[in-house]
Amino acid sequence: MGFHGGGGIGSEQRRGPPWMRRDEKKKSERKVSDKNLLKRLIKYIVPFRQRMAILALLMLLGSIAGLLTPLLTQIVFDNIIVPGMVSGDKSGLTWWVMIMVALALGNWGLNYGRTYLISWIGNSTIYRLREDLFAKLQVLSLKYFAEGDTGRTMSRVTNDAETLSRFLGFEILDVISEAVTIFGSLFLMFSLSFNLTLVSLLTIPIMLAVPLFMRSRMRSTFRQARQSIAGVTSVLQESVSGIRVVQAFSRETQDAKTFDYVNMQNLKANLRVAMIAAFFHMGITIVRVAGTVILLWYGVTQIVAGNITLGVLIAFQLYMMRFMRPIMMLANFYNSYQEAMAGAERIFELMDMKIDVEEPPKTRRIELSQVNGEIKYDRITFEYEPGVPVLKDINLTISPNEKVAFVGPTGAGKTTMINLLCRFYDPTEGAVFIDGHNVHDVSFNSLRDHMGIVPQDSFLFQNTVRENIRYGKPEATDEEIANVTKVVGAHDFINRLPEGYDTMIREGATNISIGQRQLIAFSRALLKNPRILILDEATSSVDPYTELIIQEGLEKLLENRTSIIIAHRLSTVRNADRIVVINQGEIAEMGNHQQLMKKGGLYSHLYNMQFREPEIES
Amino acid sequence: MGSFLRLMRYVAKYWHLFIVSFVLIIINSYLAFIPQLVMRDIFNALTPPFDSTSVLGMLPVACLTIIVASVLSGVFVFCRDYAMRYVSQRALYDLRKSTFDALLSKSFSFYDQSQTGDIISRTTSDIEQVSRMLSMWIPRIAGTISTIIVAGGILFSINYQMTIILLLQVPFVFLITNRYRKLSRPIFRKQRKIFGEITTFLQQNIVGTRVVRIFTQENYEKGRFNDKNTRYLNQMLASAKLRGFYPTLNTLIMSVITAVLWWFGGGLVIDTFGTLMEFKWGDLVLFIQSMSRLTRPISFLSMSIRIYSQAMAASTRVFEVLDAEVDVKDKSDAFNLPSIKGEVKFEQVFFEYIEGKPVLKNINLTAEPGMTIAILGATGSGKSTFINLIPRFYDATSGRLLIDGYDIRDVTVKSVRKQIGIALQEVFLFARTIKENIAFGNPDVSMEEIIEAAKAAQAHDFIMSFPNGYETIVGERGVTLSGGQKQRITIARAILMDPKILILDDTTSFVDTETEHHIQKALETLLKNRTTFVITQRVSTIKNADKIIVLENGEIIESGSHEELIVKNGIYTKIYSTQFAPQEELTTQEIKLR
Repeated sequence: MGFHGGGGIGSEQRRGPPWMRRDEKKKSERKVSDKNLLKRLIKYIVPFRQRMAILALLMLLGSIAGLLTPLLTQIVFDNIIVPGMVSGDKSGLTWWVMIMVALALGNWGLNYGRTYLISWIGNSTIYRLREDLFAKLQVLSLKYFAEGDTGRTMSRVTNDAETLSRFLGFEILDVISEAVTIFGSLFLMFSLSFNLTLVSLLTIPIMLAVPLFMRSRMRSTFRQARQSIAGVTSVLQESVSGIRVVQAFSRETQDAKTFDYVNMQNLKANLRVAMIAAFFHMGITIVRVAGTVILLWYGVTQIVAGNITLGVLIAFQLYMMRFMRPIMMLANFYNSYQEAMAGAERIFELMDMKIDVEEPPKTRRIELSQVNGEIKYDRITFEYEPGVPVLKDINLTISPNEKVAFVGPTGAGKTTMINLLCRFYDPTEGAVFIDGHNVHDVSFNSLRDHMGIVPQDSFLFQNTVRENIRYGKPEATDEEIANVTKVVGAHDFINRLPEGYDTMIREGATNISIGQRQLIAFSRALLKNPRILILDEATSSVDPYTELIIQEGLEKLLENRTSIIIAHRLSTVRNADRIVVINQGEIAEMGNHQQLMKKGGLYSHLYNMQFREPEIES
Repeated sequence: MGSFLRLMRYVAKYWHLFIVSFVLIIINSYLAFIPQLVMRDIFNALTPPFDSTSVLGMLPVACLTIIVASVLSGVFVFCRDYAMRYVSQRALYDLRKSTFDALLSKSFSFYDQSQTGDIISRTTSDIEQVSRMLSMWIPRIAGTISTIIVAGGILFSINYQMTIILLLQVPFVFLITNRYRKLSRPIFRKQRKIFGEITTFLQQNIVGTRVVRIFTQENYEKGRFNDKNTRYLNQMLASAKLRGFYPTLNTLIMSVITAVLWWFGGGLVIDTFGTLMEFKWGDLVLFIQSMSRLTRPISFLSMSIRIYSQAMAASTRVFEVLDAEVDVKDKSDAFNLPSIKGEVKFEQVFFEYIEGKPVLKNINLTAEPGMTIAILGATGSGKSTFINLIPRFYDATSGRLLIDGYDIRDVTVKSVRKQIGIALQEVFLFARTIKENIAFGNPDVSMEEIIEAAKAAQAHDFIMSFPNGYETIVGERGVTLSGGQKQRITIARAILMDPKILILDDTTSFVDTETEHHIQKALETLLKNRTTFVITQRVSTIKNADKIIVLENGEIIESGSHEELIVKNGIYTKIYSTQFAPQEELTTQEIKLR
């Protein structure tokens, strides 16, 4: 594969899609040992040990039933048919057949129980695994989501978990029962004929050597196949999410090319897998024939010499078949094992992902039952990337019920201030206090429960408008919801939607405008009736008319709460008690509207630009 | 069956490989039978009283025959396996490709109604399931049928009664398998559906993490996920129950038939011993071994049926995507829109997403080339829909839209969109370099042009502040940009198209005042000679527009220049005076009084 990174820009575009440009090469060898992975997988099966025990019993019985058949064959041959040929007596056959049928019936029952139990354990394990993965995603720091790739993360929870489920469900226990078959067969074979057994075993070492020999090749081939399918998903995800842009710019052809590239990589990887699997299959078949021939040759000479009977040879042939099957299975098992381990590694990698922002341990965790709303930023410095401070030595105290506006150019660090307050990130230096408590010591739930945030991107879920609004307060009544939506001016447009409050928000909320999304997100935050209300560009896409309604309603709402408002539209912030102007990670100036206008600094400059200049220009 | 035939069309391209595989399969079913026939001869020769030297003399030739036949068979199996997997992987590739192409051609209305996660699972796991069926099911079915015929024929010539008993298994297996298929199919369909739901939910959760955390709904999310997870588990177990019962019932039938073979065949050996029509024990062993040889292919058959039903359910879902209707498409006689001057004319345009709920009503408007039209209106008044009609993201329900006098439904979609630059309200950047994002509509432009566009959109400076400049990768795997930065890249992307018609849908809402001011200035020169449609909250843009239209409930209620509208003293005047005019002199009370 030819991803070397670097090179000219044009060639890079041809060489590979962006998702492959980074880190792929490094991943070719596994970092975690199989032993560790297995240990952790076993932990997931342990809770089902009772069922496992029943299953083991069923399998043992099944194996024994299987082992008996060749022996019975030997008996029917040597003890019923051969004497019968001389005496003409067939009566022995009838009771013998009865036993065979009884065995078959028993085996059927065993099979049924076995299949169901195996599936039960495999699927239940994967259920737990998915549950844990999902839970992990709920506590993972936001940093991961800012960096991570949605497609890849999803692939771990879906595809990888699925592979693992197949492995745990169908393969692993089968191998155990086959092991029983192997040892049982060996025992019975030795008891029938010592020499013949030794001869039969001649080809076994080769049988075992073939998979070992191909081990590392198979491993990396499977891993490549896995990675390439994740690539397909990733490109697909991006194209489908960005389809509107793709079409608006008529980029269908180029996108088709990009997809063709990853699709082709996947095809190539899959064909390599196919080649190796077919080759393996052939190798095993040929070794197996050698075994058959040797047994036949030696067996016949032994019969001719009078050392064994034909019944014994036939029983041996049957045993060898039973013997070969587990080995063939082992080979298949090896494939699945490889795939499963690769999947398990990716799963546990996600589970082990370090959580940067950790909740304090339960013993010294502060639960804030009541909040006054005093916020203090104490000498805060923050860097997303080491050496590039986004906030520099910020000191700011916001009193309870104060209405503060953060103003400043894009990238000044306003949203970061809020991210630190909600503890989505921890400051590099300094601390944030709420009512004198370092947010570092407060439980996530009690910290965030007191805050209502309307974030910039106003993400909505694929659910009804009503459910979206009461997302933070599931017990809210329709009346409470309507009260809130009236305040933010959303009630009217919601009622105009095809199904009013029951209208489903589609993925990406494409069926309503951004302004409408913001109003719903606004209602959602207000419904919680939080002590601290944070509006991060909450109404940037709301039309001027609606904005007027909101401003009137807000006056009342913001009374008796601490509020932080980030807005570029200065008409929104001029009524704030205090305006904090942030520039390049530092507080440039502070004061109310009148003070700042008089001062003639950055704020008045911004304000004049927004309101005065057009008049001069026109 | 419809899905199946359609699938076959994807495979038909590789018919020569198919024929090769089938020939190999048929030859192989004979080759694979040879060792047993050879052993039968030897065992028969061992019938007492036997001649030691002649038996031992048979051995070398017999063993050589077995070896040659088996090695050949191994090679053939290799070729067959690879050929079939090749075909199925190719088909997978083709199917995915055509699905992706179909996705690219679907209209906006398709995406309005579908969910990304669902589309993705159809295009990945569903298609893979189909491919698995192709690589496993087809060779196995062919192999089984060919084995039954070849082996059946040879066995029939040895003893017809035993052959009939042996083949009794086939109808049983078919009946059982058929029943199994009928019962399992709906379950598999449900499984796929729930799995699609899980994927969608997961994606939502990942994309919306921030909201989940802000509202401390982690437990609620977990609950909902586990609910789906549980439903999936239940469906998996339901299918396991069926799988435990029916296929193993097949095994039971086969064991019983084997027992009958022993009983009948054993009797035959005893009865015919020493007669002319002797049925020797070697024959008996051959039949018993043939039984176990057939057991595996036939039980594969039942497994294949399971794969078949899963694959059919999956392929139906794939074809649903392929077949989804494309509303906006080129007419058969569509021609390319020639280079335009930029006149846009709405003639009695009505539009409804849902029948009976018009979003736009009787829109009449002419935008002369070079004009700037500002669109103002409350949330949901139809502003975005209005501009979505110009690049034909949707077609008007009635009325027509003309560009330079051409009805846009008469020309090719591509030629229209190529001449329109759009910065959508929905900011979407690809996880690629900034440079690639800006040059998205125009990948062949020079670096200078890209920088020029970025400068006009006030994006150059912040781009250069990244260590990798224009080569910085944005999005999930790269640098996270703020809303305003994203919007500026979007604007640069639209500008770079050098379009005659430019559409800016609320593209500066996240941009700070100072930057917007600069963008505004740069746009002033850029907008010359371009027809521009702007939706914005910004006063300066609105005031400077040649024409302002105010939309209310899908109708144009006011239209004219700033000066014309201000005199009218209508809605525009009210909005202007409360929101746009400088008013530090006024108190909140006074604002309310207006």
